[in-house]
Order: sequence, then C-alpha cells, then structure tokens
Amino acid sequence: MVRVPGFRTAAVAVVGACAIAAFAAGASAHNAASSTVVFANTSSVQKLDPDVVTNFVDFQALHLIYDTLVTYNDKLQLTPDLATSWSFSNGGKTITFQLRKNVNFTDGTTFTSANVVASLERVKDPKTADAASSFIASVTKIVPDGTYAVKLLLSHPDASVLNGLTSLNLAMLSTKSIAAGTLSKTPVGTGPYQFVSWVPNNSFTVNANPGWWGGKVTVPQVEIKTIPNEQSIASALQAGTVQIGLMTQPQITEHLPGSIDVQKVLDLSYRALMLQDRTGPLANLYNRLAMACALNRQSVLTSSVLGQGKVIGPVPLGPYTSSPISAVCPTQNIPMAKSYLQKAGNPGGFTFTAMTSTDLDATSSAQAIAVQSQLKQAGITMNISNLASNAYIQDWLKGKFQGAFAENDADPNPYTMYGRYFAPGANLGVPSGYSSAALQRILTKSDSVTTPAAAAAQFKALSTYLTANAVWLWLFDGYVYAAVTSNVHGFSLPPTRELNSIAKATVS
Amino acid sequence: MAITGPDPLTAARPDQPVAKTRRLRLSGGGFWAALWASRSGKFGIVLVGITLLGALVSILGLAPYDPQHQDLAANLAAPSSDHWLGTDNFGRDLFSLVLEGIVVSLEIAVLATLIAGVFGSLGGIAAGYLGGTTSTLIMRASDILFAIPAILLALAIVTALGPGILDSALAIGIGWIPIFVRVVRAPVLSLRNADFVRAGQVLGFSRRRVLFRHILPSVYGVIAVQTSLALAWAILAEASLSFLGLGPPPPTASLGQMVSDSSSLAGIAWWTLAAPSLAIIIAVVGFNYLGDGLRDAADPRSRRS
Amino acid sequence: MFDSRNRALALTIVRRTVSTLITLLGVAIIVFVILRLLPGDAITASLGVNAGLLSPAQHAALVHFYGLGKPPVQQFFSWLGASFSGNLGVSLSAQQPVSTLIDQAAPVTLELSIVSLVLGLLIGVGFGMIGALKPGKVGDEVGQGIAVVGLGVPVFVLGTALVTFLSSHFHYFPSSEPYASLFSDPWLNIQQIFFPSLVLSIGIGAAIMRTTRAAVLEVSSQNFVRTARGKGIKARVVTWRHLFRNALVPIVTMSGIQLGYLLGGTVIVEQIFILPGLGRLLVTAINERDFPVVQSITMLFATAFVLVNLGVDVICALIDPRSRGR
Repeated sequence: MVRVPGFRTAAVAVVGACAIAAFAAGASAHNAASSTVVFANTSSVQKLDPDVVTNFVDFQALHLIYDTLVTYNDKLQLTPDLATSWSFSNGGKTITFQLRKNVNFTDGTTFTSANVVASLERVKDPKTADAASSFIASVTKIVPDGTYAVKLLLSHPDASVLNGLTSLNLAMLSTKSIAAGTLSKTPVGTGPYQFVSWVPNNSFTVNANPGWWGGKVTVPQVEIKTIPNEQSIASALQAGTVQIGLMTQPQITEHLPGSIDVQKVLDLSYRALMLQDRTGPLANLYNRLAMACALNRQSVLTSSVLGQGKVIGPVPLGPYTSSPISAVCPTQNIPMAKSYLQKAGNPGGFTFTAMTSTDLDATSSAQAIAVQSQLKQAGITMNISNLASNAYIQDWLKGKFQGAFAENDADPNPYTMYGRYFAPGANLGVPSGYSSAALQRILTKSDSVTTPAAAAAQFKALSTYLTANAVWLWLFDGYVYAAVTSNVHGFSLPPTRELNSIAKATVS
Repeated sequence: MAITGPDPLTAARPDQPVAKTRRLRLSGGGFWAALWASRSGKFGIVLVGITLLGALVSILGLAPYDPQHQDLAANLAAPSSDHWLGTDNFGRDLFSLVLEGIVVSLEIAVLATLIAGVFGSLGGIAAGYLGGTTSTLIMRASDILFAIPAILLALAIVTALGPGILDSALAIGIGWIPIFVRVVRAPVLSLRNADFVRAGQVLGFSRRRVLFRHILPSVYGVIAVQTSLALAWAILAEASLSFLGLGPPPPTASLGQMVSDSSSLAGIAWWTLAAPSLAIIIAVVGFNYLGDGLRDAADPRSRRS
Repeated sequence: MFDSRNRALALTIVRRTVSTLITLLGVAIIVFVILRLLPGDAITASLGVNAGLLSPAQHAALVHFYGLGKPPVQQFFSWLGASFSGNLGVSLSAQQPVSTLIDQAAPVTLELSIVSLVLGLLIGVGFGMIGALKPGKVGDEVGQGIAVVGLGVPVFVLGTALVTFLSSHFHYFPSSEPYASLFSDPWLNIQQIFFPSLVLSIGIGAAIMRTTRAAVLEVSSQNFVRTARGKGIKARVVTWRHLFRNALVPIVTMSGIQLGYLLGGTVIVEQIFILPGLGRLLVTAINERDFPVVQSITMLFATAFVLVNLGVDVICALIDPRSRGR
C-alpha cells in the first residue's frame, strides 16, 4: 500500500487545533446589555424610506418606528391604528376617517389631517416610485375635514383601499421630514421606537420613544442584527448574544433546546404554480383540471418544507380563507385526471415547461420535482427550467413562461391579492396568464360591497371560480418562526409578523 | 484553500527568462512505468481512479439508491449498513447523491479544462512561435484576464449567463486560460531558438512541419501536467461557486451545494458535511498528485519525491 | 549615479508600470461589459416581481434616479473620469457613496489578508525549509500533512467545519457579535479574525511550502552549496544566506500569485465567518445589480493584485540580477 507522507501528522495537527479552540472557547461571548433585545435575521435592512421598502425585514424594522392609518389584529381583521374609525358614504365612493388625537412625531410635530394628505400624496407622486401606490390607485383626492378627520374620494367603490392602508408603504410621515427630504436617511415616526442607527448589512438599532401614544415602552432598546445563515442564528441564541431569532428553516428550529420557545405563524405569502392559460395545451380547461387532479399537494408540502405549512386554496389566510379542497379533486385522483385528459382530446397527456428560481425561493426546485413526478403518473410531462433571479423576474413580467413556480404576497383581502392580476386593467395582467369577463365581474363586485356578509359571499365565489377553472394550481403556505429565549416574556409573533409586541414585553 | 495556481518552476512569467523551464516529453515506453514509480503519481492514479469509478457507478445506474428518492422516515440517519454515508434531511441516500455529484463536477471540470486548455494552448503556441505583435497582444489579453481574481470572474460570468453546466464551465475555464497560455508559451519560445529547429528552417522545412514535428511534442508534456492541475482547480472552483449558490441548480446534485446545505445541519448530522467534502477532497488531491506525477514522469531529470 | 545597471532597472520599472496601467484599463472594460450582460437591472433586483406594479411614470422616475438611461459608453467614461477624482459613485441599493462603503469594508479585508498572508508565510516557509533541510524526518511529515490539507480541502469545507465545530460543541461564536475593529476591541477583533485567517492561511501555506521545499532542494544540490559546506561555513549561515536567499525568487513569486487567490478566498471566508469586508460587499452587490459597487471593488482587487505583482517583480529584480529585463 502506498505510504502517504504526512497523513497521521495531519491528524495530529487537527487534534491540536481543536485543543487550541477549546482553550479559546474559555473566553466566551459577551452578553448584550440586558436592556437591549436583539433580533437576528438572515437578510438585512436595505432602505430607510418606508414608501419604497420591499424587503420583508425592512417592513418589520420600520414598523417599530412608523404607524399606519389602519392595521390588522391577530385575527387579520382591520382595526384602528392612527385612524380611530372610518365610514363609507356616497355609494362607497367616499371614505371618511376620524384621526387619533394627541399623537406626536419624534421631531415634535403633531399628527393631524395634514400629515395624512402629505403622506398619501407622496405615495401617489410618480417620483417616489412607490410600488404600493397601486393600493390607492382609485383614490382621486385626499381632503382634510378639519384637523382630525380626512376624506378619501374614490373614482369607484373600492373597499380594498382600507387593506392597502395597512401597508407600511403607506405609513404616516412627518410633514417636516417630507419637506426636508431626509426620509431616506433619518426616519421620524409616531411608533413605539425611534431611530438610532443603521449599519448596512449589519445592524439596525432603535430606542424607546418616550412620547408614544400607546403608553410606556418597557424594552428600552431593540437591535435587529444580520446573521447570514440560520445555523449561526441558532448558535447565537444558545450563546445568549441574540434573544429572538426570526427564522424560516424547520430543520434548525426543531433542534433548538427546549429552553427556547419557538413560535410559528403562516407566512404572508403563498406558493402556486402559475399557468399561462392563453395558448398551448394549458389553454384547454380539461388539461388544467387533469393537472389539478394529478397533484398531491400534501406531498408537495412534505417534500419541500418537511410538512411545515398548510395546503391552501386561492385565499390562504384571513377572514375569507378559502377551503383548500379543490372543487374538483380534494386529494390526488389519477383516474379522474386521466378522464379529464380524455375529455381534453389528448389521452396520452401533454408536455409543458415550468420555470423555478432557487435564488428567489429556495424550495421552488423541491416543489417542482415533486409536482413533476406526480404529473407523470397521469401521463403529463413537465420539464423544469431553473433560472437566476433576474432572468426569472424578466420572463415572469413578460409572461414568457408556460408554468412558473411562484411565491406571491398573501393578503387578508382577496381583492388586494387578485385584483392586480385579473381585474379590468390589471397591472399584472400579462403574467396572470388568464382573463375572463366573469372573473372580472366577480372581482369588481367583491371590491364594491361594504358589508362583511356580502364580501364573504363574493370572495367565496372568487375562490370557487379560481379553483373550478384551475386558473393556477395553488400549493401551500409555509410557516415562519420566531425563536425566543426564555428571558424574554410577552413577545408574540402575530400573523402579520410585526415585531411591535416587543414594546410591551419584559426582559428578566 | 487549495485554490492554488501554477507552480512557478514550470510556469514562466512573461518577463522572466525562460531558463528555468524544463522540456517535458511524454513519449517513450518508460513513461507509464515512471508515472507509477513516482510516489505522487501512484497516489494520484489511485485517487483519480476512485473518483472515476464512483462516477462510472453513478452513470451506469449502479448506485445503491436512486439519488433523488426521498425516504422521509429515514431522514438525517447516521451512516449504517443501509446507508453507507447516511441520509440528508430529505431522506436521500448520501452515498448515491455524492456519486451523482461527482459526475456533475467532472462534467463541468472536463468542459472547463477543455475550454481553458484548447484556447490557452493555442494562444500560447501562437504567442511563442509567432512572436512580435501577436505575442504582445496575446500576452496582454492574458494578463488582463489573470489580473481579475478567478473566483470573481467566475462569479460575475455565472451571474450574467445564469446557472447551468455549460455556463459554469465557461466561467471557470476562462480564468485558467492565461495559465495555459504562459505555460505553453515557455517551451515553444525556448525551442524556437533551439539549434535543431534553426537547422530545420535552414534545410527548408515548412513552418508547419517544424511546428508539428519538432515543437509540439515537447509541448504535450506541459499541457498534460497543467490539464491535471486544471481539473483539480476546476472541481474546486465549481464546488466553491455552488457553495455560493451559483452552481447548477437542483435537481442536479452538486457537491458544493451539498456542503452549503449541510452548514445548517452539520452540528447535528456531521455526515451531511463529511460525505460531499470527502468526495471533493479525494478528487482534488488526486488530480493534483497526478499532475505532480506526470511532471515527474515526463522529466527524466526530476528527483522530487 | 545613473550607470547602465540602474538605468536598465529604471527602464524595466517604467515599462512595467505602463503595461500595468494598460492591463488595468482592460480589466475595467471587461468588468463593465460583463456587468452590462447581467439580466435585469437595479430596479428588478430591488423590487422583484413587484416591479410589474410600477406605472410607466414611476418606472421612468426610477430609471432616471438610478442613472440607467444613459448610453453604456457614456456611463463607462463618466465612471472612469469620476473615479480618478475619487468619486466612485453612489451605491444603487444602499444610497450611500461607494467610497464610504469601501472605506468601511476595506480595513476588514485588509486585516484578514495581511494576517492570512503572514500566517501562510510562516507555515509555508517554515515547514518548507524544515522539509528541505531534513527530508523524510518528522518536520517534513508534518509539513506534508498540512500541504495535503491545504491543497485538497476547499476553503469553504474547512471554514464550515470549523464554524460548526466551534459553535455547536463549544457554543463559541465570536462572529455572532458585531464586528469589532482592532482599535475598538482588540481581543474580540483577534478572535473574529484569527479563525478565518487560519482557514485561508492553510491553503496559502501549502502552496508556498511546496515551492519553498522544491526551490531549496534544488539550490542545495548545486555546487556552490557543497563548496560552502566544504569550506566549513556554519550550517545556519549556509541555510539562510546561501540556500534561502537563492531560493527567494520563486518563493516571492509564488507569494504574489497567492495573493490573487487570497482575494478570491476572502469572498468565501467572509460569508462563512460573517465579516463585513469587501468580499461580502461584492457578492451582495452582484446580486443586487449594484454596478458602481461591483465595478469599484473589482477594480480595487485587480489593482491590488497587479500592484503586488509589480512589487514582486521589482523585489525579484533587486534580489537576483539575472532575472531582470525581458
């Protein structure tokens, strides 16, 4: 046998290095001051101007500083924030908001109807390039009604405006900041915390706002730190340098010690296989129904996120959640799929290509592989094409795909979710891959009714239509996690994933 | 780090005299015996052999499990007689997955080395033989390519072209072209002025005959050595790129991607890190030693161990 | 003063400097072209699929804001011109001057590189000399062992293994705390820099070790060494003044080349050990299509590499007059 020089000494060297490491480990990590709660996340805060942020951790961070007119409660129902009540009039074309009194910005100015006007006009200004301005596209005028009331005039009845106003992209801003143009450098808001510092790719720090309208803030300082991988976050949690880890990987959270409380909520996004239904084999309804019946969505959930999530229908969460059971096939039904293929006129199946992007969604490839093998059982061949993020986005925007494994934003209001795809004049009409007068009617009607009962009926009709026509194939919604160390009490992660409950938490 | 470069004793820098290079010859019956006799060569052949055997097993479908088959009940299982290298968190057999990863790595490495070797050698021969402006242009272009750290070049190119086998190979291969250019140019340059070549020219041999019959045979030696070293580096670069998330996308198994995925699991399942790492190490060390062995065998004067 | 030997040296330096500048210009053009090949732009990179929600007016405003509307050639020259005056542009994603970002990140990478190089030289030259002077003995075995690890084990494997081992078995993870600069908290800084440098230095050390060992062995077989030994000169003097000095040229050359790989290696190591250096900044910037940042950092790396090799050539020329000139 060949005697290899140096191997046994290489082994000795490695052991020696470990000994040194063990010695060094004696100098253990510093502990953060007990008055600071440190959150850890794998992505970092990218921008400070609330109107233009898109990264999720930006929303979480800035929501500690800024407030909106309305917000969601734990059941994802609309609830007052800086607006104490609202009412519709003029056939649903006017919304009048009563504003909260005695609210101050951290620059000393008081919150009044002038702020609402200035903030929303800034959102609508093309120069701001706020992608969420589409939420208030139907708002033609913003009119103050005294100091503590404001009217929004709409071009047509549009109940989804209320849901849009919960977005941080439509936060209430200080008129002084807007005039000074300092929003992208120095956030000034009405929330429980005020801005201290931001080190890009590193950390974002805020201090308690003593003048907060919500009462006393019990945790004096909050820091959101960037740690690029979740195993490191787990280590930091155990070392005590991080108190709350915001995580997405169940295989890591499952292995955290019992002293760390792992909370989970459904993500505000859903996975679906979007289809271009205008041309090719997918234009045939029966082919799409065959696919819907060949799917085993529970199995897709298991293969891609280890079962950590829920199989969903078109409306994944909120008061109008759709029953996930497809109108056609509740579970995988290959014989039914094959009979649909017969009806479609291609009993031997058909072929199409679906694109994924592991850059944008790390699980998209696992989903695609699972779906591919399920469709094969019915004779349908799905080819998979994985693209880099920008290439995927370009093709997606142009509708240059047959199938696309997508992760889209979920919202408690189904009109917000689907109006942008299927309503008349929709911004994303091209990637939506489908349009029909019937669907447009349902959507328009759902947005113009004002009573919850009527809304529920319309949204149910929407859900049924989307599944019965297999417009897309809805897959699942995954969980996200907050791992909280035992010395933090009173923090809970709501469905909106806001961090604000930390303001009333305590640290022992 | 093992993102190593050429050994300066065989790669002349353009501004230094070529006196230090050696002419390496591949022909002669004693070559293979010499390769095996050299310690590095023997070791290299064994390791490369193991790597190629593994790849062959995977290609022929002889691996114990289908690499993509998920057995979720047995996920994160430690190595055992059922699963020689354990399973990952989807319950896939790591041994079979690693073998598939070797095939992918070799595909990309061979393509990349081909690109680098063909273009680099042609460039080096042209620069060495033709001299003058051609040589200056080629060496200048080569220097420019060499000045950009190879990983950064590969990173930028793969991001531009998108992940995929051919694109990764191109991105990796481009960084090695300058090395082939230099290494091949050196012997061509020294031979061009050698007596027997001059004699041939005086005797009226055509340029092509001089090139093919007299100069090229000496060049094969350095090309062979560099090819082996380039293969080692390409496997490493591919693994590094896929570690950064720029490798061939799933479902294609990729050793670097496996190491990257294991970083979140290795604390509780060390085999998820060990299995792909072992495969990478065997392949890289093997080709490195093979390159050394080729150098020893081709140069009868070498007395290195 | 300007005798012919010095004049030849000066000419060499001038000629090399000019060719260096041309090389750098070539690098700038290549980087620029590659970046323009990247699909998508800063708008889609930051908004993702929501870029589809922008109205034409909003889209136009963003194009103007990011400066994407101007023709490429004009962008190239205005960037080049501005760079010479120290203005490297503004980062598209962070909205801060690129020079500020680089100023924050460069010291980290610099410290990492220097410590890695020093450790690598210590390992490489140290074990290389030991191996050459006493081939086959324990010291040589240890050295060869390290060389095998350094050449065969990729940086990211070594780094991942080290981090995993330290954090899960010892719960020791200095990188989970914000990066501390050398001046603000030296002890924490050393802990944060030591491990990544160790990982990089093993690879560098392996290459330098092989070169040193081979070069010294080659020199030691030459006649003048036998003569020196025969003359009864002390072993230590023979080792350092004769063997080492004459083997210096390939050692120094190899070190210069290793720097290029070191710069690439920092990219990986900074990801694993969470160091806010230029490598991490570069990877993030490429993903975000942040052209000004990518261009500036790549030029910085290329310039550093080229300058170091220029320096290496000068040093070699000074040490060994035989290697001067073309």
